[in-house]
Formats: sequence, C-alpha cells, structure tokens
Amino acid sequence: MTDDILILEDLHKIYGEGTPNSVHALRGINLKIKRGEMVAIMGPSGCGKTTMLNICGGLDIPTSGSVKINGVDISTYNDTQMTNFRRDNIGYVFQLFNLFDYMNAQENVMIPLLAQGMSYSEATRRATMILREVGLGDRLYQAPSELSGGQQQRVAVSRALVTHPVLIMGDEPTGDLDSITSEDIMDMFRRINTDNNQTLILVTHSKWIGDQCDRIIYLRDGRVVGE
Amino acid sequence: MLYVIKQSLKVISRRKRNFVLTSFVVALGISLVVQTQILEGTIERNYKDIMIESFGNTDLIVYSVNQIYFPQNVSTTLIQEYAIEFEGIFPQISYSINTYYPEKGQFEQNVALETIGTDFNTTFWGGIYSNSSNQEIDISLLGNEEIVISPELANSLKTNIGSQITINLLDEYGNPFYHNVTIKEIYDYIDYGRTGDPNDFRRVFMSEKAVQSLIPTTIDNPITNIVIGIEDHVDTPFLGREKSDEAKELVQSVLTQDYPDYMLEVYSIREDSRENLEEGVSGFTSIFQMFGIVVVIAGLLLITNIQLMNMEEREQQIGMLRAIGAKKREIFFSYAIETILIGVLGGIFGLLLGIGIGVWLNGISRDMLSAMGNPEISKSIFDIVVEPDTLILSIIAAVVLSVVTGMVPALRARGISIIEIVRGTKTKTKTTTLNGKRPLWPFLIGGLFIFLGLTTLIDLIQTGHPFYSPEGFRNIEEEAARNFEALFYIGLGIIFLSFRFQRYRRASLSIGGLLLISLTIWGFQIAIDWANEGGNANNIAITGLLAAVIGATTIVGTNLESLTAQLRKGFTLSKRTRATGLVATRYINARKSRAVLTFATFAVILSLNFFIGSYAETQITGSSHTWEQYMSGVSLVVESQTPFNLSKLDYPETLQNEFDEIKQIYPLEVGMILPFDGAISEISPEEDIFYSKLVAINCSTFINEEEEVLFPFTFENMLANYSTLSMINRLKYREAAVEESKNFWQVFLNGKKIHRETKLPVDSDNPNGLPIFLGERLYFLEIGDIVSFPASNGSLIEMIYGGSMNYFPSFDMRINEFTIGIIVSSEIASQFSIQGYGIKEFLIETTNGYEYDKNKALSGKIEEFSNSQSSESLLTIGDGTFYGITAHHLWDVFYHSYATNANALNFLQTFIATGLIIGVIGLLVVSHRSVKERKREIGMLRSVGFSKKAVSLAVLLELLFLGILGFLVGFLTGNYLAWVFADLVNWNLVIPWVQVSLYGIFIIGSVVIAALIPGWLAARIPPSEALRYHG
Repeated sequence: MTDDILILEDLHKIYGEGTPNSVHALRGINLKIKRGEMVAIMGPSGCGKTTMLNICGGLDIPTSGSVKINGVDISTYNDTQMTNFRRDNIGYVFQLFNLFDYMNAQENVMIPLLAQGMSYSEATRRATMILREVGLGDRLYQAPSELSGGQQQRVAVSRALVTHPVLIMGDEPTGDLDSITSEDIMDMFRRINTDNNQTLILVTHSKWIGDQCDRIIYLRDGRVVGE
Repeated sequence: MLYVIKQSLKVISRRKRNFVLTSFVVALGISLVVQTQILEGTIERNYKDIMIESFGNTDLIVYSVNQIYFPQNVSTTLIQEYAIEFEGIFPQISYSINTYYPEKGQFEQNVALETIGTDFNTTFWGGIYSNSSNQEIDISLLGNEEIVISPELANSLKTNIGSQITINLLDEYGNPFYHNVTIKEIYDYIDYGRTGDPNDFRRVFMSEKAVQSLIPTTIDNPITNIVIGIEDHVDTPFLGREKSDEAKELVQSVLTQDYPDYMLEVYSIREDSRENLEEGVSGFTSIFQMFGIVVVIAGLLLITNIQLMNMEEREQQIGMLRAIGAKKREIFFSYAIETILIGVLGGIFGLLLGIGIGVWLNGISRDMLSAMGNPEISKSIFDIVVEPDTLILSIIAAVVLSVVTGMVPALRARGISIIEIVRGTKTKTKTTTLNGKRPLWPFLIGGLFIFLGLTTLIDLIQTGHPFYSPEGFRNIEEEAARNFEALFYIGLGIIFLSFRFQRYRRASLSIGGLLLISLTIWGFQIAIDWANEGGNANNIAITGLLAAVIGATTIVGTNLESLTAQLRKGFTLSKRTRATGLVATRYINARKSRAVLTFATFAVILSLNFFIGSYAETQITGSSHTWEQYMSGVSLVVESQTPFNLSKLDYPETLQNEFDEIKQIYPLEVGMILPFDGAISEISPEEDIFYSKLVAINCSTFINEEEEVLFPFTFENMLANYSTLSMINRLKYREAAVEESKNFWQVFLNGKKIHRETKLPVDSDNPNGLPIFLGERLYFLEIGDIVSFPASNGSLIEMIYGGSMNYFPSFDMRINEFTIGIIVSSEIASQFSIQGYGIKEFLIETTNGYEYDKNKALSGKIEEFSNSQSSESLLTIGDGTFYGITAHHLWDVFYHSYATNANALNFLQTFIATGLIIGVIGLLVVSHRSVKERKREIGMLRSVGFSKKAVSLAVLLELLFLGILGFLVGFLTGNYLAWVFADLVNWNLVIPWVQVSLYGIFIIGSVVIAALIPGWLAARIPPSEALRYHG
C-alpha cells in the first residue's frame, strides 16, 4: 500500500460548463497527501479551497482529472458508490458545525454509524464514548442550541471521527469560534492526528492554524501555487 | 409607508412561487367556503321554488277537522261577497281509490278520484285537454259511469278509450264495493293556467255529481275541501305571513257562517308550506353547513401550516431587517400587505374553484333531493345560485383567513432572538416574547372561552338549572345543550390557556382534550333526544364531532413525543430505517406545530368521512337487523286490496302445500281504526305505573301547540286532549310526568329503553292477558305495564304491554309511519269501537330465514301461483270476484324508508371527499415547501453518508407517520362518533372495511407521492451545493 492517502491528478472543476457564466474553479490541481499528515489549505476567497475539499471528500465530482483516496479512484464513482465511500471513509467538520438542531449531541454523533447499519445500542455506546473523550460526557442529551460554539464544534468533530474515517476534512473548522475555543479545537485536531495517526485536511484563512499543521498548501485562482 | 409597500412588493416578486403556492392553499380553503355557500343557496332556492310552484295559484285550503266530508254550501255566500278580492273560491273533491290492473289481475294503483265543480273558472284552474282532439274536456258533461284519465295511467292499466275498468271504494260503513266505469277520454294535459303544473298522472276525473254519489257519506253534495286563490299575490310569489294570516282569519270567520257545525281549518298553502319546507330544507342545510364548517376548519389548519412555514423561512430575513433598524411596525405592515395580497389572490382563485366544484356537486345534490321524495326535482333545471354575498364573502374570508392564520406565525416570530437569528443559531422557539414575557394571546383567547363557558354555567345556575336536575327543569334538551356549550367552551379555554402556563401545559392539554372527547357522547345524546322530539340539534351533534376531533388531536399532539419515541424503537429493528427513522421522528418533534397541523388536517376531514361511512353502513345493517327483529321471522307478506273471504279461508293451507319453503303463515286482520288517532291509558291503582299514562301522547293529528294539555291522561280528559296531543310536544308530557313522579332519572332512563320481542304472538288463550304491541315511540312503557283502551261500550279494557312493535301490519307506514300499530287478537279487537276490514294480509315465515334473494324469488312464485287461480279460488271476496294478491318482501318495503337517509349520507360523503382531495393537495404543497426549506439539511445528511434513497425515505417516513396518525385519529374519532350514534339507537357499529381500506390506500398513496417527489428532487441536488443553501 502506498503511503499517499490522497492523490489528486490534473483536477479540474468548471461550474456551469458550457454556459457564458461558467466558472473554472480548479485548474489542474496535482497534489499528494501522506497518511497521518495534517495539511492546511490556504488561499484567498474564491481560490477554490472549498471546491477542492468537497471533491476530495466526495461531496462533489470533478469535471476532469482523478481523485485517488487510499489508492481508489473515486472520480469515476456513481452516486451510490460515492455515498458509500463517503460514509465509510470521510469525516467532515464545517465552519457552521452543521449539526442537526432537532437531535441531541449523542444522536448527532450516532447518525453516521446508524447510516452504516450499525445497531442502535452499539452506535449509542460508541457515540457516548467519543463524546466523553472530547469532554462532553455530561452534555450527551443537550440539543445543539443548548451548547456553546466550541461544544458544538466538538460534537461535529466527534461525528467526523466516530466512523474511524480515512480522511477528516475541515472547512474553516474554527472560523466561527473565538480564539480560546479555536485553540481547544486545534489541540483536539492535533491530538487526533498524533494519537491515531489520522490524516486531516483543513481549509482555513488563518495563518495560526496553518502553522499548527504539518504542511500548508497555497491555492490561487484554482491552482496550487506553493507549499 | 410607501417604502414598506415597495419592499413588500419586491419580496413578493422575488418569492413568486411561494406567493402563488400560499395563495393556492388559501384558494383551496376558500373554495370550501364558496361551494358550501353555493350548494346551500342552490338547494334551498331551487327546492323551494319547485315545491312552491307546484301549488300554483292556490293560496288557502279549507278542510274540516272533525269530518272528512262536508256540504258544499260555500258557493252561495263567499263567491258573491268576496269574489273581487279572491281570485277564486272553489269546492274540491278529492278521493283516494284503487284501480284494477287487469294485466296482473290485481289492484295496484292508488289514484286520486277528482272532479271539478260546476263553478269551474278557467282563469283560475285552466282546463283539461283531450289527447285525441286537443279540445278542452268539459268534465261536467261526463256521464255517471264515465271517467277521464291520463295517458300514463291508461298505459299502466293497459287500457284505452271505451274500455271498462274497476275502481275500488269504501261505503260509509267502511265496507268495500266495486264500481265499473268506462274511459270516456284520455287527457293530454291539464292547463292549470299557472306555473308549476303538477301534472300528476294518477288523477281520474269524473263529473262532480258522479263523484259525490260515490263518496261514502250521507251528506248532500259533499266536498272534501275548498281551495282559494287571492288576487293580491299575482306579481309576487308569496302573500307574506301577515297578509296570509289576515286572509286566513277572514276566510275562517266567513265560512263559519256557512258551516256553523263544522270545525274548519284554513291552511295557507304557500306560506305554511313555505315555512314547512324551509324547516325541512334547513334541517339538511344546517347539517351541510356544519359539515362545511368542519371542512373549512381543516382548510384553516392547512393555511396556518403554510403561513407558519412562510414565517419560519423568513425568520432570518426578519431578524436581519430588525438588526439594520426596521421597526416592528414596519415589519408587521410589510407582512400584512403580503398576507392581504395572498388573501385577495386566494379569494379569487378560491371563488373560481369553489364555483367549479359547486357546479359539479350541484348535479349530485339535485339527484339527492329528487330521491328524497320529490321526483319533480330530477326533471327540473337546477340553477346554480351564486349570491352576490358569496363573491364578497369569499374575498373577505380569504383576506381574514390569511391575516388571522398569518398572525400565529407572526406572533411566534416575535419570540425569537434577533441576535440568534442573525448568527444563525436560533434556539428552539419558545412561547415567550422578546423581553421574556409569556405571550398574551393564549391567555386572551383561552380566557374568553373560559369566560363564555362560566357565564353560561352561572346563568344556568342562577335560573336554577345548572345541570340535569330532578327538580323543575324546563326543557331537558335546551338546558343540556347549554350545559354542553358551556363545557365545550371551558375545554377549549383550558387548551388555549395551556400555551400561557407552560408548567401545567401537558396536564391542562390532557384535561382539556379528555373533557372535549367525553363531551361528544353528551352532544350526540342531546341531538338524538331533540330529533326524537321532532327538533333539530344538528349543531350540537357537529360541535360534538368537533369536540372529539379537537380533543383527540390535542391528546395525540400532547403525546407526540412519546409516540415518536415508540416509533423510533420500531425503526431501530431494521438496518434500513435506523438512521432515517431517527431523522424522521426527531424532525417531527422539532416541528411539532407543523406536525400537529398536518395530521390534524387529515384527522378533521377523515373523521367526517369515517363517521359518515360507518354510520351509513351501520344504518343499513342496523336497520336490517332492526327490521329482522320487527319481522319476527316473517319475511314475506301477501296482501290484497280487498279483504279475503273469511268463511272460505283455506288459502294458507293451499300455499303451504304448494311451497315447501313456507314454514308458517299468519293471517292478519288489519285496518283497525281507533276512534281517535292515538290511545288512552289509565293508571292501574295496584301497579301505580305512571308511565303507561304516556301512551296517549302518541298521536299524529294536527295540533295546536298553544293549547294546554290536561293531566292525567284519563278517559275524562281524552276529548279535551285529543286536538292537543302531539309527538312534537312530547317534552311537555315528560315534564309533566316528572312533575308527578318527582323522579327525573326514572323517567329519563326508562325513556331510552326499547323492547323488542322475537316472536309474533298472534294467538293467545287469554284475551285480557294478551300482550299488545305498540310502536317503539312509546318509550315510557315497560313490558308488563297495564295499558287500557276504551271499548265500544265506553269501558276501559286493560291489557298488558308486551313489548315494542314486532311487525307493523300495514304498508301505511310508508306514508304515515308514526301511526300507532297494535296487534291484538280478534277477540280483543271485537270489544273496541274499532272498524275491522277483515283479513287482508298473510305474514309468511319461510325456511330461508332472511336471505333476500331466495325470499324475493319465493314472493314472485307465490304471486304468480295465487293470481293464476280460477274464479273458484278460495280467495274470493264477498261479491265472488277474485282481484288477486300482491306478495312483497318486507325488506323492499322497509328499504324505501331508509333510502332517503342513505341518499343524504351519500351526498355528504361526496362533499366531504372533495375536502379530502383538497387536504391531499394541501399536503403536496406543504411537503414541497417543507423539503425545499430543508435543502441544507439534506446536504448535511448526504455528507454523513445518507444516500438519495435514504434521504427520500426519511422524508417519506416522516409524512407517512403524520398521514397514518391523521388516518388513525380520523378513523378512531369518526368511528367513535358513529358508535355513539349507533349505540344510542341500539345498533351495533358496522365499519365498512372496504371503504376504510380504500381511504387508507388513498392516504398512503398520496403521502408517498407528496413525500417522494420533492424528497427525490431535493436529494438529487449535489451535497456540496445543498450545503451552501441558507434558506
């Protein structure tokens, strides 16, 4: 097995292809990320960071080029294959947490496990365990609206981790948090990365976050312009 | 303000689709109001027009109360003195006869033998025209044995001009005799010189002299009634109550000079008939209106639901506007302008849609009214009546509906923190205002209902009639209804107040809900009591139905979380539904108001559907069972228009020898006439059973409600009470009975008992101990009660009451079902001042039980066999002529009486079905909007591994749950109501499972479509795009 967990080859993404208002978001990205790396993707707004992250995470499909995760080219996957792949291999953390406001913290974490078909009791056990690990053992049954921003993001991280994904994607994971809470979350990411050898790709504007990562990849106008 | 209007218009233009969809939902609701209005107006106006027109120019009819015939003295004074004022005053003779039907060898047609007096006035009466020469026929020139009949009757009798036919009459002693007449002419048409020609084909015309010679009376020149037309009304359809009463008084005073010895009754055919008709039609329209209200409530729920979605969708926008300095007032006006425009558009759409549906339902309503006893209606053009009020009402109602239903979400939005909205971290909406205070509106509305309820109760307490009380109640049903209303208001009040006092919300919702559900039985009890008294309390029944639905919805809504928790447990059993089930059930709980509104919409409409469906089925089966009980094993009846020859009566043996299926034959001597239309009873001093006194109230004569009734009902008081007694007035007697007994409950409880025997005891060794069987309306009789009737010598004969009527031995029930039927032995009958007609009927018990088809076939065979006998048949009557028999299946006779109800129920079902369709369309709109607003959430679900199918399944499970919940609540409440109704009339509830299944399939099918289409469309959006969506 190769050491590269993610390989992007000549990745292009054009929104509204063939229309006068088409946007060429990614213009031939070539990139390799190693297993256990914690990588920051930085660049100005509109440079294609989130687009690249979405394609890497199987949320979007490229116009051309290939995306290999763990040696598997997912760019040719149909929707069902992509869904299954995403469910079993990718964990997401979003800027706005994207928690289900009508479920409690425990249920939010359980959802991906249940989607995998795990039994309700086992999913409950695992969700409880991971929430305890992130210090939310006493907030299991709280609704997201009853938690602070940092706590919400910890729930989101727990949800991303609970399926033991190959890759964890973070889209501005601290963008909506104050500096102290951001430090907490970054500590958590760091711990996950070092303790579990977990690969993380974080899209960010923050230089400080970039500095916490193993690598920083700079994007501009849809191209990798430096590391 | 201009700025606000501009902003509103901008919002509308930007959100065109939402605007149109909301207007559409309003239109659906309004269309229900419009079609209700149209149908109500159409039915009332057309029905009245047709009925009133058929009376032509006749205004007053005069007849004698104490004599069937009275002399023709009218022409001498009245016509001369009042001819200028009265358009016409004519004596009339109308006499019912039977005609012999040679083709079948039996008497069949009940026809009216009529004549036209010598003072015949063509300007008033028009003329009768020959179908061969087209010339007017002068009835006065007909010979004594000559008649003129209609082509329809001629065709029915298979006869023609010059043929002889036999007519059957009774002499003054009640003995039948037969008269042969020749058909002189067949008329083409009767020109009454007025609109609304009834053109009754069952009319036989003879000369005045001939008819008078046939009438069984010793009076010279007898007439049956006098008809009067009044000139004044020529240009107006009605005289008006005041003028009509004046005319009645005048006619009464003048005629008294001519008829000093006769009690004359003057009936204002137009005004009195109009009032009767209005009463009759209003009975139906009030049910219809009440059902309409319930359906409109469903529409209201639907509109509230969509308005709530509108508001939730725009919460962020409102928060932003507030954040940048928009005043609350500006936001309110902006919202008001938008909702008013939605209302106006919805009103116009709704009006058009309502008219469209109204036109369609109109045809059905005409058929229904036609089947309800007035075939004339099916021939007439049933014009759609769209009152101008309806046009205005629809628009106003739409605007009011939009604004009112828009207020609830607007008030909810006020309780949301601006900061949270702007930050996108809105907490779960709480019923608190911005400054932390609880909202006032539930307190105000709940307080108002409680106030209404308490003041009603206080009023009842102050007047000494708080609840059913043994002492001195005035009117049971009226007070019960008021108490019912009071508790209904209190129940509603408790439910509304629960939104103010959160701590006690669950408890108060449960109490309010249970109170309303339990009120239903009472409401129905009151409605049935009133119906038994001849009154109309449909509004109470429908309010009872509403109470059940609101109560059930409240209870289910309160326990929604527990229900969804149980459901979630069920979903965990399957891999496929574990995650989707969690999402669906949690989402339902999170949007509780919306969920409750969605299933309540279905529950309300379906409860009506199931109620009517089950009640109709119960009625058919229940009636059939009741009838079987009545029949006491008897399935067929053989009857003759002429009594059989008793001395040669071996007909039963002949029949039994011929047909193995015949088990037993009971000959019945029927047609006994009591000296008055009712019965008198006397208290047995030993037994002291006061109920038996109430037997006397069961009369079917015309009554004057103002007159006093004398108690007790002794023989001495008989004549004084005779003209006063009425079933409609039964309440009075009950009151008097309570007064006397000082025990209300005894009367009340006994009043509900109906006894039926399963055997037909036509024989007994002990005449005085023979049970008698009375109509079941004699609620107060207990089996074993002593009942006494005056015998011909004036003494009272005591008999033991043996139970309610088992078999009504006369087909008169078809036209006068309330007449008392009594079965006694001929020995007893001979002691009464009763005129017997001899044996005219045989009741036949068969080995086929109640199997309709077999018995029907047997009746045909019996008829054929009996009518093919030679003239030596033992069934000959006194003059040696055999006129044949008719064999009926008893169910056929009975079917006629319940077909009317069945037709009305079918119509209501059709009407409510349109409500269901509208509910489903509403669900489609709600579902579409709901999925659209969850676009981002769907992206989130997809990002954590939900496939497109799983997303669709989550939406489907959610709607399916609500649809099934609505179905179940509707099914349970509807059938609960049907059960209450059925139980009150001693029927077993019969649920039409096929219909229930069809509704189930329809609801599930609709829900699947409503969920899958938008769910699938939303799931197709790439998750990356969906995640960018911000509502």
